[in-house]
Amino acid sequence: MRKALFWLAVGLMVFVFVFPVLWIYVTALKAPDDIFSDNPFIFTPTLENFDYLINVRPAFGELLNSMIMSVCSTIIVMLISLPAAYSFARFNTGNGHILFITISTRMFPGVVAAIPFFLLFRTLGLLDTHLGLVLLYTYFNMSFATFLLYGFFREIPESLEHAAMLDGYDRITILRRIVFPLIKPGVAITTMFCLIWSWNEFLFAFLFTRRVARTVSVGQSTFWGSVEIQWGPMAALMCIAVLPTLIAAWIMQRHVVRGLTFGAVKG
Amino acid sequence: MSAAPRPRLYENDRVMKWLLIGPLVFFLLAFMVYPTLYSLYMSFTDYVMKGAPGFVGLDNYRWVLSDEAFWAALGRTIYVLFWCIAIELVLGMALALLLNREFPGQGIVRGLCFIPLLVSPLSMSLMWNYILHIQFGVVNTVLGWLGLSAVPFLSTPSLALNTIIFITVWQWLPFSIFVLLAGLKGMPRDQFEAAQIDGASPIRVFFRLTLPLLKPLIIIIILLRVMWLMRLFDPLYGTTRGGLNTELLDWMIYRVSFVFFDIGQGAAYALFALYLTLIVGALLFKQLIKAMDGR
Amino acid sequence: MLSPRLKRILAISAVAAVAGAGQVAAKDDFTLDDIPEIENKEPIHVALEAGGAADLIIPYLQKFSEATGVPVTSESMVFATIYSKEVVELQGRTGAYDVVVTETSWTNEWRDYLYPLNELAEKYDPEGVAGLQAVVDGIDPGLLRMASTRDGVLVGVPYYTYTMISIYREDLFNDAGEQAAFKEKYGYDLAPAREWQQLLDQAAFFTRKEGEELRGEVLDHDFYGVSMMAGRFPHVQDELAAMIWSKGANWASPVREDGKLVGFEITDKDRETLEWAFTLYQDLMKYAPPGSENAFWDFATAQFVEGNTAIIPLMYNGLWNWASSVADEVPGARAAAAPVVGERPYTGAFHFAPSRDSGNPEAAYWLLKYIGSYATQKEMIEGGWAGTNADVLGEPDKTVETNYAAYGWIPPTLVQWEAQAPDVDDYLHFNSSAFGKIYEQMTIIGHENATGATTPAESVEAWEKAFDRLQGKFGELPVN
Repeated sequence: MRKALFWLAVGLMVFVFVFPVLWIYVTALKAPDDIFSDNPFIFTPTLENFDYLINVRPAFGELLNSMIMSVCSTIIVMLISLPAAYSFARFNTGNGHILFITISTRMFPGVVAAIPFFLLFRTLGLLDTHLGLVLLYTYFNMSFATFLLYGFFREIPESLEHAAMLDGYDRITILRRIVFPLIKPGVAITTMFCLIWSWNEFLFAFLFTRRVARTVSVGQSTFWGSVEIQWGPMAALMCIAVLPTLIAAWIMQRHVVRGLTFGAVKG
Repeated sequence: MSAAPRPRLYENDRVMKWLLIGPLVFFLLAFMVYPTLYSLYMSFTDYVMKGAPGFVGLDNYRWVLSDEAFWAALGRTIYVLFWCIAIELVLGMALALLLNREFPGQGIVRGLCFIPLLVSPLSMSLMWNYILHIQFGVVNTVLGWLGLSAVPFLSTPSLALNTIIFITVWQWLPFSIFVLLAGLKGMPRDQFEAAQIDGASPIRVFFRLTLPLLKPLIIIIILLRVMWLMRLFDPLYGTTRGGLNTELLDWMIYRVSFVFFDIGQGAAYALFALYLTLIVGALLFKQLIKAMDGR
Repeated sequence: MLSPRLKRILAISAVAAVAGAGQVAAKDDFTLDDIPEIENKEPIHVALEAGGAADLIIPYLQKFSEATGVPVTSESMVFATIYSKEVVELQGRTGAYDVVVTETSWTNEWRDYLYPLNELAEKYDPEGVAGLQAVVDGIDPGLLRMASTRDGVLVGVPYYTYTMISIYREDLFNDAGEQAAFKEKYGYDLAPAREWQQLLDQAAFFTRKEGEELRGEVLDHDFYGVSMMAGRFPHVQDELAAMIWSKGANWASPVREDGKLVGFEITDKDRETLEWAFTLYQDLMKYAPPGSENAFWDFATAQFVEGNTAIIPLMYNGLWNWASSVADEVPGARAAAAPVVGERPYTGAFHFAPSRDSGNPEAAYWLLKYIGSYATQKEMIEGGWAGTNADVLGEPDKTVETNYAAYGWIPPTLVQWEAQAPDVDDYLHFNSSAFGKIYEQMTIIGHENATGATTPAESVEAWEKAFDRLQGKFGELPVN
C-alpha cells in the first residue's frame, strides 16, 4: 500500500513535469492542419517539421553557437566561482559584504542593463560575437554559481579540513582529496544550472547577436511572425534544443547521485 | 559545530583568500559598475535614446511614486512571489523527501524531473498559450471529455495571474526539489541514526533535525527565488503579454525601457525595484549567515 | 453562386484595374538584368520579420545576390520584439542592418536613420529618380504614402501588405433558412454588413448554443458570431482603428496650417467616435468565443477555420489563405472575403528601407528596387504572397474563381485601398514620429476596454492622457 502510494505520487509528479514537454514533441509531429483541431490526439504523424529545420531553415549553426557559448561560459564561471566560493566560505572574505554584492548583481532588471551593455559592447566591437555573449553569461551566472557553491562549501564541516591539516596534509591535497569529493554534487548541480541558463537565455542573445553568434533560444522565437506562427517547426526546434540540456542534466544527475553517496559525512 | 580553535594556517591566509576571489571581483567591477552608474545617471534625465539626455532632477522618481500602474504591478509581483515561493518550498520539500530514498529507476525519475528546467521559458510560454487554450488546448479538451467545463486559464482576469504562477512553479519546482534533495543527501547520517535508535517519530525527526539542518538551504532558495521572481518576465511573453491583470514589475520595466525606450523612466523603475530587492535580500542574507553560523 | 455584394466588388476591382493600367501606361519592366554592375561588393544584411513570410522572400534575396555578386544575408526576428531590436540597432547606429524591415507606422519615427530613396536613386541609378518612380508607381499610392515621412519623402519600398478584410462564412450567409430567419428577426436581408449595427445583428444572430440548429443542422458545440482579437497583442487597436476611421474620425486629428501639419488634436468628434468604438467593441465581445479576451490572429482565425465562428469582421489579408481552408475542415463550409464595414480598415505594410549607417547603400537600393518591381511582385503574389503592387493585384486573373485560396483577399483589398486613399494622410499612424510607442499604448488601452477592465469612457480618458504624454515626450509636433 505504501509502495503503491509512493509510485502514485512519483508517477503524478513525473506526469505533470513531463507532459507539457511531451506535448511539444507531439506538436512537432503534426502537420499545420492538425495544430488546431477538435481532437488533439488524433492525427497522422509527419516529419515535415524536422525536414523543414534541416532543409529550409537550418538550425545547426544556432545549436552550435549555443553549445559553444554555454560550455565556455560555464567553464569560466566554475573557474571563477569555485575559488571565490571557497574563499567566502572558509575565510569569510569581505565579511559577507562582497558575497552580498555578488548576489545583488542579479537583482538588477536585465532589460535595463541591456542598453548600457549594448552601447559598451558596440564600442568594444563585441556585438554579434561569441566572446561577447560568453562574457555576459559568465557575468550573469557567476553570482548564482558562487552563491550556490558557497552553500555547499559551508556544508562541509571545517573540522574535517582541520583534522586533515593536523595530520600534515598540505592545502592542495586537502582540497583535492577531501574538499573536492564532498563538493562534487554541488559542482554538478551548479554546472548544470549554468549550462541550462546560458542555453535558454533569450533577451541578451536576441539583442546582442545577429547572424554570426545567434543562439538556438533566439532561433526558437523566429517562428512567430506577424501573420503566422509556425507551430510545427517551432515545436520541432524546441524538441531538438532540449536534447543537449537533457543529456547534460542526465550526466550531471549521475554525478549528483554518485557524489552524494560518497558525501555521507560522518562528522 | 564545536568551537574548535582555528588553526594558524587559516589566520595567515590573507593573500590566499583575496587571490581566490580576485577573478570574481575583477568581473564584478568590469560588468557591474558601468550599467549601474549609467542607469543611476539616466534615472535623473529624460533620455529616450535619441538626442542628448536632459537633466530632470527627481521627476522620474516622482512619476514612479505616483504611477498607479507601477504599484499595481508591484502588488501583483509580490502576490506571485509569495505564492510561488510558498508552493515551491512546501511541495519541493515534500517531493525531495519522497525522492530521498533508494528505489528502482530513481535515476530516470530524477532525470525526468529536471525537464521543466531545461526548456526555454520563453518558447514555452507560447506553448503554454497553446496547451492551455480554452478551445484548442489539450488540457481543456481532456477536461471536456471528463465532463468538466472548459477553464479559461489564460483568458479571464481572475485566473490568468494564477496560471502564470502555475507556469512559474512548474518550471522552477525542480530547482527547489534538487537543492533540498542535495541537502538531504548531504546530511550527517550519525545524528539520524541516533534519533532512530532513540525511537523518535519521523515527523519529530523532520522538524527537530531535518528542517533545522536544511534551514540555510531553505533561506538560500527563498533569497534566490525572491531575486528571480522580482524579475519574472518569460512566462508573460507568449501568454498574456501583461494583459488580463498580469502585468508584473519586470514586464512593465521591459515595456518602458525596451518598447518605449524611455531610458530615464525605465532606470527609475528599475532602481526602485532594485532598492526593494536589496532591502529584502539583505534581510534574508543576514538570516542566512546567522543560520549558517548557528550550526 | 456569388453574393451580390461580391459581384459588386469584382466589378469595382475590374474597373480599378483598368483605371490603374491607364494611369501607368507601361508597367515597369525592371528585372535583375537591368541592375548595373554594383561597385560596392560589401555584403548586405537584411532584417526580416519571422514566420513563413520570411521563407518566401529569402529565395529572392539569393537571386539578387547571385545576379549582382553582392552577398546578401538575412535575419528573421520574432514579431513581438522586432521593433525593439531594430530601434536599438538603428538608434545605436551600429549599421548592422543595411536594409531594415519597417512597419509603415514606424516610418516617421525612424526617418533620421533611413535614406530618402530619391537621394539613392540620383546617386546610383542611371535612370535617376525616374527609374525608381517607374517601379514604385505600380505600388498602391496609399501604401507609398505610408512608407513616406509626413513630408512626403519616400524612405522605403513596401513589399508586403496587411490590410484588414472581413471574412465570413458564405455558406451560412447564402443558406435560405438562415436568410429567412434573419430577415424575419431583423427586417432586412442577410448580407455582408455595411453598417456596424448590421454586424452586431449578425453577430448576435449567429451566436448559438450547442443543440440549436445552424444551417439546418444540430450543433454539437457552441457557435459564435464573431472572432475578435482582444488579447494584449498589437491587433486590438487595429480593429478599433477600422471602426474609428469608418466614421471619418481619427485617434487624433491632424492640425494643419497652410497645408502643413503643425500638430495634433483629439477633437470632440474624435472623442465621441472613440467612445462609440470602444462601446461597439465591448458589444461585439458578447458574441465572440471564449478565449477571445486573450486572442490574437492565430486563435481568432483558428476559431473560424474550425467552424466555431461565422464572421471575422476584421482580419489581416495574410490570414485569408488559412481562413479559406474552413472549406476543408467543416463540411459544406466556404469562406468569402468582403471589405470591412466602412471600407477604412487598418492598412499597413512592411517596407524595406536602407539604413543610413549601411556600408553598402548602393546594393541596398538595388535590392529594394528589385523586390518592389512588377516582375518580382507578380511572381510573389502568384506564389501566395500578400504583395503591394496594385498593377499585379488588379490583373483580371487575380480573382476568387482562378485561385480561391491565394487571391480571395485581393478584391476587397483593392476596394478598400481605393476608398481609403484620400484619408491616409490624416491618420495619426503615418504622421506622428512617436507612433511606435503610441501604438504599444493603444494595445493596452484597447485590451483593457475589450476585457471590461475599463469602461468606454474611461478608455477614452486613458487614451487622451497617454497620447498627450507620449506625443509630448517622444514626438515632435505638439498636441493642441
